[in-house]
Amino acid sequence: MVGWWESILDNTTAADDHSASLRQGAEDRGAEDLAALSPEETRQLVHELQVHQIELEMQNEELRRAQEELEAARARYFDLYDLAPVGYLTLSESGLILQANLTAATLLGATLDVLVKQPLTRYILPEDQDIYYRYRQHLLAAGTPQVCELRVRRTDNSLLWVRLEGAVVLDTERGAPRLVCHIVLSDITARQQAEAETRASERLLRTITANLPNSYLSIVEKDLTIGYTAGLEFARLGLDPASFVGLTLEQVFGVQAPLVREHYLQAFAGAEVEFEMYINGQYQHYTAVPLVDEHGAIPHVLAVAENITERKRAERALERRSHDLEQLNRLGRELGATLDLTQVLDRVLAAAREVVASSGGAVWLWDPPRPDWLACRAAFHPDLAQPLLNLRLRTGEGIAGWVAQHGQSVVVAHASQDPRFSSTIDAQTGFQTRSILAVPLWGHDAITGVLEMVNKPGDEFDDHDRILLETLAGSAAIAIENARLHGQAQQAAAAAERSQLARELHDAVSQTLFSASVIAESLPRLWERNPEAVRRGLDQLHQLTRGALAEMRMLLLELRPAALLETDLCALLIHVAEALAGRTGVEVFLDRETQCTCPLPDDVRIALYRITQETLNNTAKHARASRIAIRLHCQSQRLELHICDDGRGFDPAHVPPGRLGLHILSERAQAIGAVLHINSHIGQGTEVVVTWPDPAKLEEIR
Amino acid sequence: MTESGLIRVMLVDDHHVVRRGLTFFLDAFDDLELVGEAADGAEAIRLCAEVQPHVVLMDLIMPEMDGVAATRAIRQAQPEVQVIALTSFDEPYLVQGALQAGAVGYLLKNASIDDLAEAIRAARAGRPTLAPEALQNLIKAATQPSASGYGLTERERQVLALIVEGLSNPEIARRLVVSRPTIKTHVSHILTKLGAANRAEAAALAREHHLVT
Repeated sequence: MVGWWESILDNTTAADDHSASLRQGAEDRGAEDLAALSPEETRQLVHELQVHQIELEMQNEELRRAQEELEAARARYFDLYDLAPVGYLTLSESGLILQANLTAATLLGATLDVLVKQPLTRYILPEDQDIYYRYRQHLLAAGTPQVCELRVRRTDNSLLWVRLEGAVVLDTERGAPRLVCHIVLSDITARQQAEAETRASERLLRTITANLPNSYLSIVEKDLTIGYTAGLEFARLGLDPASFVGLTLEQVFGVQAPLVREHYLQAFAGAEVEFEMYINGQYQHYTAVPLVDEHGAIPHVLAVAENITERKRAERALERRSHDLEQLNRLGRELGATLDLTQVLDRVLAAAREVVASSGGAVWLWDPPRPDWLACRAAFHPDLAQPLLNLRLRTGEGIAGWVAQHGQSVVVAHASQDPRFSSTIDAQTGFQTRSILAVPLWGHDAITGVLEMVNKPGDEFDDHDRILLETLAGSAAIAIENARLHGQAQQAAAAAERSQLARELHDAVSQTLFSASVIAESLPRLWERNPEAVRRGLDQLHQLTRGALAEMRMLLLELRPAALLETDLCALLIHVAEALAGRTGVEVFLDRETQCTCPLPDDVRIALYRITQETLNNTAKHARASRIAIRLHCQSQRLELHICDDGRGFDPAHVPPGRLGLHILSERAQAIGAVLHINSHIGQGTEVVVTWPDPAKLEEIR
Repeated sequence: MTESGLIRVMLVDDHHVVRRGLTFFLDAFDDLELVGEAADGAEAIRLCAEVQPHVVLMDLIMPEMDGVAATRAIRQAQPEVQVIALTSFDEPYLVQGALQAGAVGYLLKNASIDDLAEAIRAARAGRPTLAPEALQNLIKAATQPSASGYGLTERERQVLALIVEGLSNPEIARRLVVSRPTIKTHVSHILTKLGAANRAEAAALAREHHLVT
């Protein structure tokens, strides 16, 4: 352990022996020579002595100056040593303080005289004694300067963090050479406190970063490796942040590394950058900011990543929802744009395909001729739409039947496992049903049918699909109902027209023909007995057949409105008159003056025809007239229609509203700007006069 | 029966031409005598009391009072007067209505004058005469009672009865203690089966065809 300094001690002893023998030689030679000198030689010698004297004095002076310089140096040394900014301690091999400067004494809170001969351990805090013990062992063993930091308790009991920096040296100055320890003692309390504060704030920072919600941050080194990283996001993803430290961008981000590199490099160039990235199934929003040090350099970049997956999802859901609503809105409008049921159904299916992907679909509606049955009224599928069309299901049969019965939507993932599923349709069409989404079509207050989608490609129908289809079904049901009502209205209008025609045929033609046939059948029987009756009968027969012909012509005109427009007013009036005469036996006279070649507007012509028709019907029904006269007078822009009868008449002032069809006549006249007058007295017949244009209009024309 | 032995016949028809034709027909048969003409039911009742006919030829579809009502009134007031319905229509409800009202015959306006004369003579003797079409309709109605029921189920018939009463769906649901959707479904089926556009039409059809009691 002590080998290296034993050899130094040996060398020192040898050097001392050599200087002692040199001194002895010089003393011996001076004493022999002095007695044998001549006066010249003596003068010579004195002179030499004087010279020597001077030289000695000069040397002495030199020495004194040297002494003074030495003194000054000593004083300087004292200043340097005692008043140095660090403490110096010289310790004996056993650890006693041999020497100390003032600074050391001040640091330890003692005076120099107290300090000397004390063991240094006396000042070291008990907790740190081990540090000191190991330090000394280390120091002696290593032979090179060593450093340690520990706490000392000063005389006034206050604590001080000090740093010991020491080396072992051989001391030859006093007495026998020995090993001593020179120690530089410096106060590091301030530094220790600063470090403690740094550690505390670092701990706080780590706590903060480790708990960043939904986020993590990284300190990126200049070489683009991860220097530090933390954040709750790691825990969420089941990752250990420490495992990322030292990794390269490629190791962390894989194929996304170039994107990250580009942004980090921008940050190292001083820019604050933001970017988003989809990685490991998560959306991360990155902010990278340069960390500028006090010299203006950028040794690090701080990157903060926030997990925005939830937000993205919410945004996407919102976008999707808004898209869905727009789509449904548009499709709803498109559905309502037609009133043809077939077209509506086709559009319903097209719309359904647009909102819910599926490989097939059908609309089932109640089948009117077969109560409790649904019929497929529209279908789509590349191959099987045609066979599916017009197939029927009983209420409650299969999924569609179940939906029609219960009025609830059904989502079926595996059709074959659902007890409600009926394989009949599949068997009939060769279709293979896997998944089904069926929603009821709710009409005004009843189910009108079922909208069914089958086999979502590569997936199962979900609630989102169901809600979309239900919403669509709302519009679809309304469109279907509208189309149906429209169809019914058209049918009803056609039916009303047909029944009107049937009624008129019955009222007029069939009665007339029955009468004619009875008369014709009776004539042979009367031939012999009553020739007079036969003559009347033949007249009747003639009138009846003419009337029937006129009636038929009028009905044909009603059936072909175009023909009505092509016929002139006089011809129309002749038909009306003959028909009434044939039907009722009332004599109808058409005034010979009745000639009108004026090009009347169609609506005026038709209105005058209708007014005549209705007036004659009224007369036949109520007036009990035997004669009716019709006169049409036409003269430059002025037209007058007179219809008068010899019937029982009525009091126009006492006609209950809505009776006698009088208001209909007035309305017709008003519609063409004509004026209608009705003159009647009880017992004196009735006169109806229509004037066109009305007198006020005539004033305007003139 | 009068001393002359002629059958006194009264004509009721709102169509003038029909009355004219039938007048010729009565002229052509020695045993038939025209005793009066009326243009509607009310006039027919009045005139019938006045002229005491043996047989009335009664049109059924007429303004004011129809032939069925007039037949019922005449038969009640004068049971000895026989009524023959003479009409263009052979709807079962008209045939049944006329016979229930007391008509002894039902002829269509396609009958020959010999048929008419024979029917009048039969009626005078109290024997019924039915046009073949009318007879066929009666038989059909008797053998297929459900044909006029529109295939309604018992439950649908109950719901229809409540619709006729004027109840709303929620009220019907409460009355029958079932859910509203169920009632909606029933109503939907009823409308479909009756071919009715709405509840009012369904109620009208139900009354017209006696689908509810």
